[in-house]
Amino acid sequence: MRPHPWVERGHEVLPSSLRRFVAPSLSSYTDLQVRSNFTFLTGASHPEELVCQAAALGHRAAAITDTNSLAGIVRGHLAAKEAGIPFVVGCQLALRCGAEAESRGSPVTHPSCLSVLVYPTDLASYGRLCRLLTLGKRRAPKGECHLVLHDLIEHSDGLLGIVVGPAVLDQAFIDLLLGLRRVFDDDRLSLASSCLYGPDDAGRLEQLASLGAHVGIPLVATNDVHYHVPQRRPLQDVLTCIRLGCTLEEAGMHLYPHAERASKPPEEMARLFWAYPRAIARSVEIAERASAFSLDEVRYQYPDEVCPPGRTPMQHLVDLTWRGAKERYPNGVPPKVRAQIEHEFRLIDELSYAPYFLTVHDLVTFARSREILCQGRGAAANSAVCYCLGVTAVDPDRIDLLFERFISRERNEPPDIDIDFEHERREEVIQYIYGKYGRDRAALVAEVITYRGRSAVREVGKALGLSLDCVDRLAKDIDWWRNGVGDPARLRAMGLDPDDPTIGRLIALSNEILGFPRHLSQHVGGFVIARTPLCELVPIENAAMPDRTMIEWDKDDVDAMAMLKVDVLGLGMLTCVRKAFDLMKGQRDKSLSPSVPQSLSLHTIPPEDPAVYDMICAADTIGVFQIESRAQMTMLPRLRPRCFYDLVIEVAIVRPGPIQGNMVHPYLRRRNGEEPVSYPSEDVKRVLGKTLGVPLFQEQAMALAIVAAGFTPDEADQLRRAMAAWKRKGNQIDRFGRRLVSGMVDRGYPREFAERCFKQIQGFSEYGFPESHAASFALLVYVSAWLKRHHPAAFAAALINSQPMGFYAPAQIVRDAQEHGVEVRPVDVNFSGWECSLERECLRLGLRIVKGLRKEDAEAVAGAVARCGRFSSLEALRRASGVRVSCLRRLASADAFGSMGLDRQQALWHVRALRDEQLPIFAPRGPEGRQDKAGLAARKAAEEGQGAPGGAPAYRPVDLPAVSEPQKVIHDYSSLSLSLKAHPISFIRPRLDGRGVTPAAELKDAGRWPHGARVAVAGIVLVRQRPATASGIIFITLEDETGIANLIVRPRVYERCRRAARHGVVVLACGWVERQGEVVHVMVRHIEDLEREMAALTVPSRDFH
Amino acid sequence: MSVAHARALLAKGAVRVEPYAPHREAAALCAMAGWARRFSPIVATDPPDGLLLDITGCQRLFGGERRLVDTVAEAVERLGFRTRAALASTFGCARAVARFGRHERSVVPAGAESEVLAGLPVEALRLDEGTAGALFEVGIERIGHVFGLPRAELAERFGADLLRRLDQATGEVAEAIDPLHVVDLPSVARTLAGPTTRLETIMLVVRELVSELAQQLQQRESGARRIDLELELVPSRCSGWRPLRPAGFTPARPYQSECAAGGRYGALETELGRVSSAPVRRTVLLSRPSRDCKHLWSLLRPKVESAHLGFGVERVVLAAPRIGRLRHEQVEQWLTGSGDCRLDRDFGELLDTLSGRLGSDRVTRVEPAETHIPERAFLHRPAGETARRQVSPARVTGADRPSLLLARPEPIEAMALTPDGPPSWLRWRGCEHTIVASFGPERVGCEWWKGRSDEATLRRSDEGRTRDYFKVQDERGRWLWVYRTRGSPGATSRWFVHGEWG
Repeated sequence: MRPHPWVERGHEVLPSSLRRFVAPSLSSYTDLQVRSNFTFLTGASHPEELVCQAAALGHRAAAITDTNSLAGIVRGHLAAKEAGIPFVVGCQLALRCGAEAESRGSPVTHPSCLSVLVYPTDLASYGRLCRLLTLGKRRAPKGECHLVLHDLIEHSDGLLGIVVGPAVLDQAFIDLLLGLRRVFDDDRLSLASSCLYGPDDAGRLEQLASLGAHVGIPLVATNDVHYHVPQRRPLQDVLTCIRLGCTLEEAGMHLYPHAERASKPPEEMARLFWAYPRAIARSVEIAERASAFSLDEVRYQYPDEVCPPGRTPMQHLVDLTWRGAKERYPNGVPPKVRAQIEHEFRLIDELSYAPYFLTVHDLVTFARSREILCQGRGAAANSAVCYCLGVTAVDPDRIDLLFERFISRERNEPPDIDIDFEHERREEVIQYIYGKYGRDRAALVAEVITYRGRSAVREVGKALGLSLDCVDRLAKDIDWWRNGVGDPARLRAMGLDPDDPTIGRLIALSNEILGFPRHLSQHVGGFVIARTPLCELVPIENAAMPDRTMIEWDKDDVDAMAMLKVDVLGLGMLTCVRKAFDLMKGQRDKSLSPSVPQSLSLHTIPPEDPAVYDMICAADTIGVFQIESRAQMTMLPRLRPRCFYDLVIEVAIVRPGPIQGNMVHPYLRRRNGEEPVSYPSEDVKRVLGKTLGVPLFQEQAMALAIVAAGFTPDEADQLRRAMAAWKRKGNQIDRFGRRLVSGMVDRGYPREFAERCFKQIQGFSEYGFPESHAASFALLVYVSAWLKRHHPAAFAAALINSQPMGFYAPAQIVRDAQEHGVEVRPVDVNFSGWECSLERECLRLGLRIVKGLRKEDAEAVAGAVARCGRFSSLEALRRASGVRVSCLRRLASADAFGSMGLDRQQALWHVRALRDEQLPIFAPRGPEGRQDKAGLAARKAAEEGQGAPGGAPAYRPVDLPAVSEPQKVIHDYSSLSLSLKAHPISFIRPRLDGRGVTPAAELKDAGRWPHGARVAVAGIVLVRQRPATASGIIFITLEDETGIANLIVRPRVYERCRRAARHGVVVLACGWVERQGEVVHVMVRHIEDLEREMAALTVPSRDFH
Repeated sequence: MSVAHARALLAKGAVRVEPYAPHREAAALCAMAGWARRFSPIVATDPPDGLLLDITGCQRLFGGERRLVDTVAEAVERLGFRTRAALASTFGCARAVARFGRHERSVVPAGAESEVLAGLPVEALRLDEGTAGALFEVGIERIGHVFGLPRAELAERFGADLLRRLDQATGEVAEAIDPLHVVDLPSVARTLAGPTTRLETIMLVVRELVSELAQQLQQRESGARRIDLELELVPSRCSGWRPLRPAGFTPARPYQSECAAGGRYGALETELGRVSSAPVRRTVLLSRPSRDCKHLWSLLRPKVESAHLGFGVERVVLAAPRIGRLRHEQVEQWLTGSGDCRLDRDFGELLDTLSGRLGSDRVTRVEPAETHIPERAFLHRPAGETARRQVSPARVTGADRPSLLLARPEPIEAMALTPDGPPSWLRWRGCEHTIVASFGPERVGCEWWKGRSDEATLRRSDEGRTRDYFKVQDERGRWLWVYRTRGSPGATSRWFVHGEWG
């Protein structure tokens, strides 16, 4: 036998901080039955806590054996490495016994269910265990695992087993043990025995011992650990209640009676098992054999088919890169970029990441071949190779590259490339991956859904037996996530007594449960692809969506196991840009619009167009990617971006991180020349020069650490990671922070400067952008702004066609287009398709904005028009398109029959008379012509020629009551969410004038409305925002028929006018004007709901009562 | 609108939440319909909140149509309801005008239906929501608009129902309503020849009434689950007038409590100028349906005996407002067959008798409760109450439990050889016991979610009161159940006896 891990490692390698916990133990013991909280809603401790506790108590090894799952083992493995004790990978299998359980699909907790703990001893048996779990999970619905004894026997080679006995040890169980012993030969089987302070532990142990002696299976001591310390018992009880969906009062015997299922010191276990010392020794023996296998042995391999035969991946990559470089730089590759590429090649070759780049390149090539727009984001933009391969679209020449941010030698983690695809066509790419690599080699990464503030309060509250209403109030009103949990004043304001013990428990337990995994879900787009079958590396299970499979590990685990991951993400703006390109190409092909460039793609849009920047500076950016939010729009006139790099900064600076880190104002002051720009040294100037001495990007923080504090690039990367995780691991950031400050002071920088840098770095670490990411986004900002400036109709159409996305609804997009001189034409069955389209320079609204209309129906209607020409009769249209009457009614509600000479009212009247033809299956059989009366009548009416395609309008108007203009607009809104007729506010304008309300557009006039002037505005509420960074201030955007007014509502006013401010749809706001340059806000003093006035419009005739 | 939304809209505390009980609303409406039979014999309900009265011929009794409408509306308003009332030649029109008309009380002259209806909204026609919505869609809001449109096209578009309702309202088509039928519950009454305070007389009358009631019950193949006895007393200031109660008013009606039990009934009487003593009311609840005279009498007798008879009883009413099905039984010569049934009946009678004598909360049965704490593992419930239907029966622990559990654990002196081992000697109630055998320990933690505790004790709650139970045998062969509390480390632990095996 080869020496075991701890023979070399021993206790000497324990960190000194832990050493004092390790008592000079007389006995040694290892917990082998340990549930972490990845046995969802059963275990009440994180894997890390269990491992650390095992190390602190002086166990010889730490094990995690979750039920039917290996989801927590990577975390346990990493924690064990850090704590310096051997780690035992294992799993508790819940096997269903008997034919009955197999056939009926009964739940896992079937009483006749057999529980076996298994531990792999080498890589091959680990692979078998993963395969076994995959088998059980793939055949069961999501979240379950159906296995029977036979499955275990088939995969049992090399696994150590511990059988957990049932409550009654009967003959069937003895037979089963005898059978299992034959399968688990070579002394691989044991029988679990526990001392859990039951009614008669001694008797039970004696029974088990004599049974073991009888069948020849040795006993092993286990403790059925559910939590690492006894104090977790309340939480475990609560988790049980959440699992069973009951309260603590109702749970009864489902709860454990005491807190004994915690990790115990070896001495305590030895005392409990004083009569059976062999059982204790056996646990160590099993742990020794099982820890011969370490997760480090699991070697992930890259897929190899991306490379043509006979060439190494590296050679292929070099070829592709230079070929791409030639396309990207037709005038020759700049020397700086050439050097960069050579540098990257060296690192890629050394770490043999070439297959990874080839895999990503393959995806991008596929997307290009299908004309799906895509763009790499994130750290990949730091790589010149990625640019040459076409993965990213930002020229490395334009920004500074820090390749170590992307790939680092020391980190031993694979690079992480995120690629955005058009959100409507991402599924094509996903299915391409499944198709190319097969389901056993490609799967989605899991995402561990954890308890967050709201869900924690809700579930814990329910388990504690609080009323649903009370739980809802707590969960909704308290911003548990950010503020201190359970502020007494806020509790009292909600009518709850903070001193009430139940509330106290709720707060304590909710805090404890935060971060607990609740279930596994699929990651948005992270794919793992392997050369060998993936199901031998990690169990694969079904995801909730059909046709999706996912592994049990999340992205951190995958990173830690050095597995290839590609993020296939969806981005709405890419869809929009592609649709705009398509519309423009259509116009160009019909030679209607000569101004469209010949080649349309992200990197061929004419760069640095001053007209585009003029528009951006005027904050005229509704619909433009990223800079359309209220915060961005108020910042634009102050930052006045004039070049691409200004956009990069704009995208990065208006983020919670930089705002909290107090970087925005220094940057603004310096940019406007109000504050001198100075640097402590030349080195720092090189790093921070382009952002005027204010660190704005993650890369700058890292570069600063390198040049000013003497970090190595890899240490700088660790700093970044510590920053990203500083909420979880507060101590690490402090350690790096001290090093950073002292390093800078040692190199002669003033301490004050060093402290400030650190503060700023800390501030944006959570929400900050890396420069490369900001650059990728800035490119989309520029492209969308260019489209808006030069092709507003196509841009507006594409935006509506890509809904839902962005901040604004179609109503605002249409309005904005109208303000830019685009003629917008209404929805009409004879002209509109499903999507919005262009008619010369005009925008024709598409049927997709009609509420409740299905895409297939809309396409059937459009198809019929394309086949038969314009229709002038409803019945003809119905018969030609085959749509149901309910669909025509929706179209009539949307006033889409204007070209037939029918307004909404008349169209609805006539649609009412139509009947669906009977489906063929119900039609009476027999000779043709024997049809029911209604069908006959309808046919006759149609044949009489009233409205064959192309004919004149055939309808004689019916004398229906008149509908008022406001009523028509309201109908437009309820069917289309917009109206081309008039703005609803315009109808109450006379009344508003009487109350001294100003139209929103007039606010721009600085002469009439100077800073501080009293003002009142009214309108429809477009957006309500409560940014976390604005200390409770609410931003409301109002729209009236003239334009948009921006309101600022302070918390005091908000509380006072809560009803209108929070729920009002049409409101009137009084306050005073706040001017900052061109930006105008209304600081609100009072808000009033105009619901009554609007209601009076819709029912003007209801004077009864 | 959700409750949370309502709370958000209104000031704090202004929202009172009550569950919506449609069956109670329907019952109240039914009761009102019964009450309204004083105005017309044909009354129908118009859910959720209306009544339809066919007053053909009744108006003369009330002095004309106008007076009738006023009388009805005022009478209802005296009951505490806001009222809208209308009278017309058709039910449809009257209903539409009552609900949507301009005035609270109106009379539509015969022949003017169409004219009046024209101004009302289309919802007034009793249309289903879909039809009304469809009419709104094309801008038709008033019934008058409908009159102007061709009937054939209307029917084609909105269904025949619209025309039917229209015709019913205008009187083109006759309409029948489904009037309320009153179901009589078994009830018997006897008016005495004159007021009496002789208990013997009253008991004799009650006995006779019991047998009459039992006969009625037998005809219905049912037995009483509840019996109300009412002794009407002579007014205290004896004027010789007999209390006049509204027609159709019998005390056992369910709406009695809804409408008349409050002050309004009294107000009505004061108006009539009489003073009356409240009748004596006694109620008997039975655990099983029964019509056995002997049994019923045995339950009623103590009630009659204890009643205060004031200045004399002049009328006795006996009613069975809750009855249950009880099949006819063949009279048996020999008491051998169907023993179970008889046993069950006898047991039921015993329970009724005991509950009647001792009070229903004094006669209980034991039910298991799911908890690990031994003294909380069972509950006492009133015996008469039918067992709560549980989703799953309470699970009880499989562990050995003593046959005698002390109501309160008793502290003892004990000596143990090891810190968490069993006692070797103990003194309980002055006797010393030497322990010769033991099982355990079985550990039972406290129910940490009960009782007051701050966060700190929440953390420590487990150590505070965790018990280690031992089943121990003394030298005389007695098996005792003792436990030791586990205090925080360092604190001395205490011993208790909690039970004994018999």
